Amino acid sequence: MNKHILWILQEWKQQKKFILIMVFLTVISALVSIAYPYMFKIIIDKLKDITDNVNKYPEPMKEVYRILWLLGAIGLGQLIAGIYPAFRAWVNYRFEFGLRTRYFRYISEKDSRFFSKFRTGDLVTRLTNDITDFPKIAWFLGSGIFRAFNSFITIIFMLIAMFKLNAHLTIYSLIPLPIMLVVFYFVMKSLQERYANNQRAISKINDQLEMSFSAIHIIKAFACEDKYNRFFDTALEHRRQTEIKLIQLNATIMLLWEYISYFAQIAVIIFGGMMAVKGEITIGTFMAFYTYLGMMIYPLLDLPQLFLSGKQAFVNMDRLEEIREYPTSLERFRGDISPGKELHSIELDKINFTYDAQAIFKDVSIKIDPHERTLLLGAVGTGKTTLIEILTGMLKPTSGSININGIALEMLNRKEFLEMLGYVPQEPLLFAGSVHENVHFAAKKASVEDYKAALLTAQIADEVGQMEDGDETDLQQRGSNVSGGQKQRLTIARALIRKPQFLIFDDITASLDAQNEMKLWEAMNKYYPATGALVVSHRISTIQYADKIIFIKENGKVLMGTHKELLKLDEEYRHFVAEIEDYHKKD
Amino acid sequence: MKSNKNTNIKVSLRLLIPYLLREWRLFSLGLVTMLLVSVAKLIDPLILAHVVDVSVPQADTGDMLHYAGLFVGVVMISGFLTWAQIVLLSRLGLRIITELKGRVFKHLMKVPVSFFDKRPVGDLIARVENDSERIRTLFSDLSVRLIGNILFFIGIVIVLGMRSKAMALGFLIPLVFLSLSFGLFFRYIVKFYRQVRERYSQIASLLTEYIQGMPIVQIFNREKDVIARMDKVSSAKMRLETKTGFLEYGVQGFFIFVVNTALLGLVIVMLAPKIIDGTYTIGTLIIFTQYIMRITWPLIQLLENLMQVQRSFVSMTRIQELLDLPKEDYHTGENIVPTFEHEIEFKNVWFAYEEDKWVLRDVSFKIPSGSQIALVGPSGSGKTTTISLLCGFYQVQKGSILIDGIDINKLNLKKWRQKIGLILQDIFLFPGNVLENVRIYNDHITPAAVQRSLVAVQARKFAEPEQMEKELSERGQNISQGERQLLSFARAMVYDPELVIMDEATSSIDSVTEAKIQHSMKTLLTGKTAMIIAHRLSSVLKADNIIYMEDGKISAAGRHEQLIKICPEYKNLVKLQFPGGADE
Repeated sequence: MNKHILWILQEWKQQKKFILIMVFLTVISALVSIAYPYMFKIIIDKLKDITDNVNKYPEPMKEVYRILWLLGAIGLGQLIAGIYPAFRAWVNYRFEFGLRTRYFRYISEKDSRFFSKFRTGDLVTRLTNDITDFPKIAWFLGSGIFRAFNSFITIIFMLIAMFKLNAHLTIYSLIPLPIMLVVFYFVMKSLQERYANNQRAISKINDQLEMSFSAIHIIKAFACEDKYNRFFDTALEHRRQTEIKLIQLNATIMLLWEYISYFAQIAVIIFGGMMAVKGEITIGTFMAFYTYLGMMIYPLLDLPQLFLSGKQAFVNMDRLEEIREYPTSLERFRGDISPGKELHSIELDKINFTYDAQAIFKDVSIKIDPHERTLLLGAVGTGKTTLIEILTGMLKPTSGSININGIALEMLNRKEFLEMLGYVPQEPLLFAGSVHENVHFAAKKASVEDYKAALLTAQIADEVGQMEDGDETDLQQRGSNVSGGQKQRLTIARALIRKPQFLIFDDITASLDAQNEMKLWEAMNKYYPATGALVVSHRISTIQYADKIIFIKENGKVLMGTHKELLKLDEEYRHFVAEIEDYHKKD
Repeated sequence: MKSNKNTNIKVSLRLLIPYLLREWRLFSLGLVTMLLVSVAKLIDPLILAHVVDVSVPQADTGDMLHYAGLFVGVVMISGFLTWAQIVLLSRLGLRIITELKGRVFKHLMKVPVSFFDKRPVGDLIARVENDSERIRTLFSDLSVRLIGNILFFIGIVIVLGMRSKAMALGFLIPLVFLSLSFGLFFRYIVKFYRQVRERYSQIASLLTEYIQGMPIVQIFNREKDVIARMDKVSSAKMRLETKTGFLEYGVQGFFIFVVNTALLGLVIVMLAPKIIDGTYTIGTLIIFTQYIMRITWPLIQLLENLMQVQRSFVSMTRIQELLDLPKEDYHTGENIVPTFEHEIEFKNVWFAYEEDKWVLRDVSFKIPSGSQIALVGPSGSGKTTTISLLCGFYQVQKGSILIDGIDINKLNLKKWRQKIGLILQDIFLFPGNVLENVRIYNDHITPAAVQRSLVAVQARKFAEPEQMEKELSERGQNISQGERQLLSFARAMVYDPELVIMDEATSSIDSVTEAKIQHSMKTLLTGKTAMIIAHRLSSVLKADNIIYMEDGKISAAGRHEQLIKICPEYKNLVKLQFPGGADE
């Protein structure tokens, strides 16, 4: 419980002024609401007095009017308090905005382990569904807590008024209170569990929706539209079950609550009625008590509601905190040392990497010359992408270090190092926006020449020119106006536009055909002569463009050298290269 | 798509009524309980009035206790009924939206591929999920309060009318006037709610993109930019919502003032003289004021509920928009069963995704049954489009695609697709494990069959039962790019198609593994037809016919040896692919 309260207080600190105004408005609002029944008691007693003692009042209506002025004043107070809900809503929205921004930032600081554990749909849910609207976090931080606070204050004021009117009756009507609190506590835990189950089910469904819509071509091509629904039906049904359980429990709690508070009203009718009959209290007091106790139901319901919605909100808070707390190896880069202006050397020093008890890399020590072109070869699943991730710091090796210009990566200002790199991913990940915006993603202020050079080298300049909107063409997710190959070449342009010192190409075979690859290397020689590259390729012809080869063996060891050197040195390499030659010779 | 209030209502009712009719038992039971609850709420002021007017002045304890007992009874029953109505109606609501969601999803599966080309996935998800939830509240709290309060209001008018028609009118007229004026207000405000929902979808969309692409963002050191963009969109929503909130609650606050203060004051001013002169009793005043106090919140809620109903209608409209999307036409009408015994022919095909932006220009070729055709050419030459057309994803503007002489537009598309096995460049993973990813939840395909095909594509390690049950994470981080390729390969194999269509599928697999695949491919393709967008010389050399495309046109076609001689661009490609391969 403690950590959640701390969390709430920290969030409130962010909106200090607003919270204070809320407190003020809450008090005004409570005052106004208890003033009405009290005022009403005065009117009734006055009227009774007038009808019973006609002679005392020569101008009866004058008395009535005097009281009505009071009513008018209270009404004005009501108008002011009227902005209270709007203000509360405003505070909710501020919380929502603050939370989303902050936790998105936390996500941007995570490494690739995080993204393999959490699916995108789930993360998006946590930053939207878990935060927005009733009864989620943003609502709870503002309205949730303050409604309860409002109710609490209202009840306190009510009790003061009631005690002032008649102490005995007040005590009689308050007997049910302790019972309420006890009953309520028993049911809380069950509710929390059901709520958490429900949230998990919601995330799961969003995940599945996303995956399914993304893969629609395959589903249709295999004529599986009908079969595919089977899985979704199961998930939906599961969600319905968890939701029903939650609702029923909520409703039952409300029922118990209402019954117990009705007892209070019944107590007033019986005891208060008796007292009125005996003349111990006036009719006006009787009505006032009745009204107050009738008014008390809702604020009283708000109190356990605070705990209930709190429990629910805590689940959501935990889901957010899970994001923040998930360790990221990116934190290890606290270094400040600048790598300098030029990249001289990239060294892997005794790198070991184990995943799922499997050794992917064993004792890898190689030096990459950033002015050269190095080809990364290896069979499927040997970890080429993993090596790149370790190199760039996206993944932490089990042991060993990466040294850039002789300094360990952890010591360096990693951001400066990254600015020297250009990266082309295996999948053409682009963002919503125009071609121009996407290529300029990492270099908003690039010159027109640099832009043109990037497009030309990526072998996409002509095609961009031929697009109807040219480079203002909008890239939609899975847009059909730009083909897969074109998207991949755009990612090349994106990497090149900032004139990197070193280019990392995770799978040139995915981006370019052999013809375009040749043109790429020619253009690289022309426009980016000093830029070296680390290239993953499955095409044997790439060897001719490479100065050195890094070969990842099946056992996790890594060899480096020229093509000729490796052919002489290692049988597995010979076998690897020869397979294709043999194969092609067969035909 | 512009909708006004009337369209929203019509659409929503059209959507809802079939469900309500089907679940009529739950629905009517819910209504009956609501009615009873409203009646119960009317009774207790009457009891109070009696106590104040009769029991107390007459000092009649017995009478008072009698009425107190009556009060207890009414209160107990009404509490129970309230519980019942919530549970019943929530059940109803859940059942309805669960089915609705399923329906929408299934419908979207049937919508043509072109729809998904234009739509951000995040937006679609926001629709199906969030809008359905809005509809659900329509059934739980919303209708309970709305209908319950309307019934309550009618009851008040009747009860007051029984005492005095003048009083009833005095009550009715101002409140009706107030409700009407606020009705106008809502018409104004509902558009803001729609905008807010749209901003929410936008946020979900953007978040989806940026989170999916976070590795790119990080490696390009662009976290700040992306966060700033996210902020912008998020704060736009906040501003809009805040403005709407102030409007909504400002008007509400004014309304409360009018009822609680102005109206109440008026009532007292009018009744006080009559009480003083004895026409009416104090009990009457109590009844009047109790009803007014009790109707204030329900009336405000009525208006708020109407707002929420409006929002739900907007959500329903958005859902209906999805359901109204035209389904893909599978051409089941004439139900011509496709055969593929002779050949597929592209006859003077012209195709454009968008008006006049031709991607294919006058493309003609034949795929004889049993042959293997390779499609080569520079990126963007129309190869991917060609195979999309073969799958029947789009319709050509000019020319025709004939399967055994019959136009593909006349064939039963589903049956045609059952003859195809598709392997794409982008490897999509489905939610679930390896087994389901290979068979796409088609339970007609046995796990044993899946195992066999996994072995055939050299993905033996996945064929073990524990491995087949392994859940695949979204980015497939627990399997490599190459292994994903193998899975998509196994998928094509297990469906045993007559025509295999492959788009550069083997380009990301290393040569060793590829060689093994080619080996087993030979076995698979015996007796089958294949169309392969080739980026590797190996597939091209084995082809019976190679089609070389450039700019949406076929530049040349023929066997490898012929093309080397007649097509210089082709020769160039081969030269690069395999040094020495062009010398024969």
